[in-house]
Amino acid sequence: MSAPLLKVDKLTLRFGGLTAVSEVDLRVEEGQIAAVIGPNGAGKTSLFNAITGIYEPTSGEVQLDGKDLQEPMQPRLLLRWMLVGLGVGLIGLLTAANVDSLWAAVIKSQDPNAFSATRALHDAGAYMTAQPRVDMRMAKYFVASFDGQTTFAVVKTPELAATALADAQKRLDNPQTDDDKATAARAVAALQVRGGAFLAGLLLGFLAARAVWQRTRRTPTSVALRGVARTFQNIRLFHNMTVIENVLVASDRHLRAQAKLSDPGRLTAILAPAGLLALTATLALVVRKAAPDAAETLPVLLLAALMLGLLAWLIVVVRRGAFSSASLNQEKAAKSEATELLKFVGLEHRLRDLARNLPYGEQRRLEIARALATRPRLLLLDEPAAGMNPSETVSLMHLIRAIRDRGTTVLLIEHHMRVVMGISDRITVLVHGKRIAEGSPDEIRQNPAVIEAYLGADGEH
Amino acid sequence: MAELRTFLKKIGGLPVLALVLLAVYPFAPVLDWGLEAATGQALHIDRQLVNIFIFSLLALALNLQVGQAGLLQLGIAAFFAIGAFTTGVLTVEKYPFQIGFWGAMLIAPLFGAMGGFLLGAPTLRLRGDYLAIVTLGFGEVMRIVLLNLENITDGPRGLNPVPAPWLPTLVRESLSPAGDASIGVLRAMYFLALIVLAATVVCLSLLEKSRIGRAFVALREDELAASCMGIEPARIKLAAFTGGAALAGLAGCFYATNLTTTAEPNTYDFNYSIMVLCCLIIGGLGSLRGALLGAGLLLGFDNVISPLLTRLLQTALGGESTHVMASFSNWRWIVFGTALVVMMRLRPEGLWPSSRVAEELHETQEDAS
Amino acid sequence: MLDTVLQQLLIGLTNGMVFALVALGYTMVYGILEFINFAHGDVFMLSAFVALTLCGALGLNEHSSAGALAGGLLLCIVASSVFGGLLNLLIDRVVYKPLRKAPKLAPLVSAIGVSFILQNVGLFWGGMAMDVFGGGGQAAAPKAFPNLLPATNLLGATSKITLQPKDVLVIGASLVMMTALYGIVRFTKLGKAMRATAQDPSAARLMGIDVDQVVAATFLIGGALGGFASVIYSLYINTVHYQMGYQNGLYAFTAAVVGGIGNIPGAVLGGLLLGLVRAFSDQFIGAQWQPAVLFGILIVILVFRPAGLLGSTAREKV
Repeated sequence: MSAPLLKVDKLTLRFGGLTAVSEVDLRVEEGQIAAVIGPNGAGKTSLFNAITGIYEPTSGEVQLDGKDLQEPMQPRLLLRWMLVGLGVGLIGLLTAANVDSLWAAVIKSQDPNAFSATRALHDAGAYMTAQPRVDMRMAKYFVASFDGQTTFAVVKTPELAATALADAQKRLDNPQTDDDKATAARAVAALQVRGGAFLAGLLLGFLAARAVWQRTRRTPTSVALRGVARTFQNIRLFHNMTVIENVLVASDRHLRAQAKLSDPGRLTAILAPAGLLALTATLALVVRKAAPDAAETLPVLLLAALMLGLLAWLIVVVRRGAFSSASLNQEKAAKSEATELLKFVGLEHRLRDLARNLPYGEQRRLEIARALATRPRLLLLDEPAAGMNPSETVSLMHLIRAIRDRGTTVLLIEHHMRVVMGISDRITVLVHGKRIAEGSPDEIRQNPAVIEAYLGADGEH
Repeated sequence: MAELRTFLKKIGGLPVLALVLLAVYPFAPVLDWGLEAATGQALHIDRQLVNIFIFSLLALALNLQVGQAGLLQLGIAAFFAIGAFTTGVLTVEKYPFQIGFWGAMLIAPLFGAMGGFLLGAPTLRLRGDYLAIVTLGFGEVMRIVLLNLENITDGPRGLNPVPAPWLPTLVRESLSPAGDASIGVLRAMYFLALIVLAATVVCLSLLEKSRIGRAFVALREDELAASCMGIEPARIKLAAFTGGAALAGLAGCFYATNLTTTAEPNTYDFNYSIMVLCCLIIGGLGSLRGALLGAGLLLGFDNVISPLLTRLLQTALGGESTHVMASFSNWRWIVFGTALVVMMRLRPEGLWPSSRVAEELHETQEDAS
Repeated sequence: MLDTVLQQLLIGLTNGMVFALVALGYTMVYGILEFINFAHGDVFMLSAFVALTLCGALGLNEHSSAGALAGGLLLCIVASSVFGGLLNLLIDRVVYKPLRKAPKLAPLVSAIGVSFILQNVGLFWGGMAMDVFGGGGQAAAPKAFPNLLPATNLLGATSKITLQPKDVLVIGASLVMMTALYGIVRFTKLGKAMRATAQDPSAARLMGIDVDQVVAATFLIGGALGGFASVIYSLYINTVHYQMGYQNGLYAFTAAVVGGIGNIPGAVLGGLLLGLVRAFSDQFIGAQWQPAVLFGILIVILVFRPAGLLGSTAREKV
């Protein structure tokens, strides 16, 4: 026997003191139509919500095709959290080091003409690690200091500054006078505070990123992307969108994924103009720096190139990133697929109508088409026949069979016994959140527990 | 560019006509002539128009976040300030960078986007009201930070002078009549802002009709259903938030360049954010044309109508009254506040809404009642 | 060091009590109507102006006799509370009530609008010619609130920790008000109706609860708490300013969110927490970084507990 497509193990869902679903097991074989029945309040919709990631199960497992439906823990996640932690840690470090004086030490008080990025980095590092450094280079004077507070020397040449710096380092490493000892102690204290702030930030960022992931490892989106689509008991269409737009919203995601696969040059196409742009900008800067008074022809050319690059980049980004797919063709493909789906559920005459103007039965069909547009392997239908008249119900049964025949496995909740008994291959019965029976329609019909707990109590059904 | 052609066909002549009119206006300021003849005062409408263009950019940025993505953001001024101060640091004489307007124009949006991403990533999963308070708080924090980091931002003085954009001699000379450089700079800013605004409007309206635009509508209508259809609310919202922040940064860059200073950090306070929101509400939330209309109306009130009314009020009171109620600019928050209240009551979709948003608003009302 | 910590603890507690009182107004309205009543902070501000005007009209100042002070103070408190409650109720009836069924954005934006109108009114109020308004004739300048309580240190002049009568008043009066509110919400019929409405308005209506009346009572009580807080706050800080509603409203709302909005004990907890954090950050980080520290903490708390400290995550009904 092959592994079931959907495997629910001992699923429990508790809200406060109320247990909505209690240790339910459920198997759905690929290519079948399965049903969950039970009286009102039996926990059927809660079970659906737990499967589709809307509710977090209290305990138990849900697997689709042998794979867990929640995002598994992966080493690269650790890396991501570390990166977030690093970012927050850096912010902590900067805050502890006082951005203001750091900036002053590195950029502002230097001779603007002598600015160099390497030197700025070096000075920033010296400030962060509380080392003595050449603090200011104003006019002809070089000041070696620690934290801008203790001045070691004011000298006139870079060579002397270097000597003073080495001397200062020696005094801090091996302090003799009280003054030096105080400075050295302050250096250690500064390092401790900055290090502490960095570590605290690192931890905080790491934990925050982890907390966010924990909360989102199993969302309706991730479940949908793994191949489980659903409809809702109380129809939840996008009421102010047209029928075809409703379907397009659902198909966009996998179409984009497909476009990404079939178009490996996408990233390059977006990045190439950006690279060009950066190159032009750098060139323009170099030219301006090197020859501020040079003839203007070159800058004009560069400026033109810059603007062209920007324009090219914008066009590529807008066309590739923002349109429904990598290109207009894909939008067309999406539309024809959506039209086909709508024809399949019998709504081809309604494409341009607003969803909210459809009659009830058609809204249910549209919801099914929308769910199918995500190309699910398993389709969950929550009371699809609710509120339908007998003829609509019959055509719904045909539709559900047709969906199964297209290769999508169906799991439905239904109160309508004619529908359930008519189309289901397997039926699971829930009462008060517990599974009391499971079997083929005939078995269920004859199961005394079901008759007593459910059919008997309900009479007419 | 087939989509551009169909797009042009779809929007019809009005935007194109407006663009053409605005493009020739600085050379033939008819309105100015008329008003000058009537009131004896030069109003410099082209100068006001530059402000309106820049403010419109900001309004469009907020519209992307609030109107399109449905994120209640009350701190747009923070990103505007990031753009302005980035431009300041990168261009003023005090600093060694001095990359000029063109470089700043590319980098300011990047910094705006970075700010948006850093704020949005941890907070966009929050419910609407929580997000409102977080963004409001971020706006305050940014203002305080800019004010306190005096070494970097020059505190309350702001960074200045921000240089005018560098232009090739040919362009510069053809824009300045009779060698008047200040008019040349003004016109350069005018056209730059106009071009960027027009490009932004085109991009945003293409976006509206795209896959992402559809996802925006779906998320606004029913977030849970949308996420069950494979749309990632957090990712889409973060993209909109970051994009809006970048656009606000760009607007900030233009603002600082046009003003030749970053202005003091207190300019970018909560009231400023609300003013931008106010112009969206008046024009129509989620509607591009509404945002433009709102920006025009609001700045028009502040810079043209308000001084005019003040003068009338002063004349009526006979001379120079120093009483707080005698200056119409002191009434502006009553006017804006009342406008917000009245709009919400009578026309929540704004003066010039997009059809979809109008439907959404009315539907909710009908359904609920 | 210990003295400093104790002193800041005291300051934080006092500030926190005021925050908590204002936060209660936000949280009660949010609990029932699910929208941020941005104008609440400005009701607080205008109530302070009422108290100030009353002080001016009665000629109260630090030299008045003890009896006059006690009577005047009581009058101020009653008048401001009544004013705050009625103003809040009026705003609800005129502005928010017609929007009950509108999308959520509508009342929120209206509340911002009302907040601006009230601020502008405060500005004009400050521009009125009155002897009691210190701080010069400028309408926008902070007005001095008379120091009605003696500035003696209750712990003795030599103690390093300062505990003034006004600290005692703030903490004591706030505790009394909070207990009273707790009593109302917990034990009265109105309180039961409020809790029921907060949980499910339509079900409450079906059970025969007059939801409209409950909402009105909520606005009345919230506004009165704000008015009450405004008097003790003005006594404590000794200035009144047309923008004080915005600043304190923001902090108070943050407190409500930190505690879990809609949750009454949460608002008190959040207020106290924020007051303490503010006091310590003022002492050890610097007063100019106050908002940055407070909102940083808000963001951190919301990342780890998106519904606030005491709030429970509401599940959407599917």
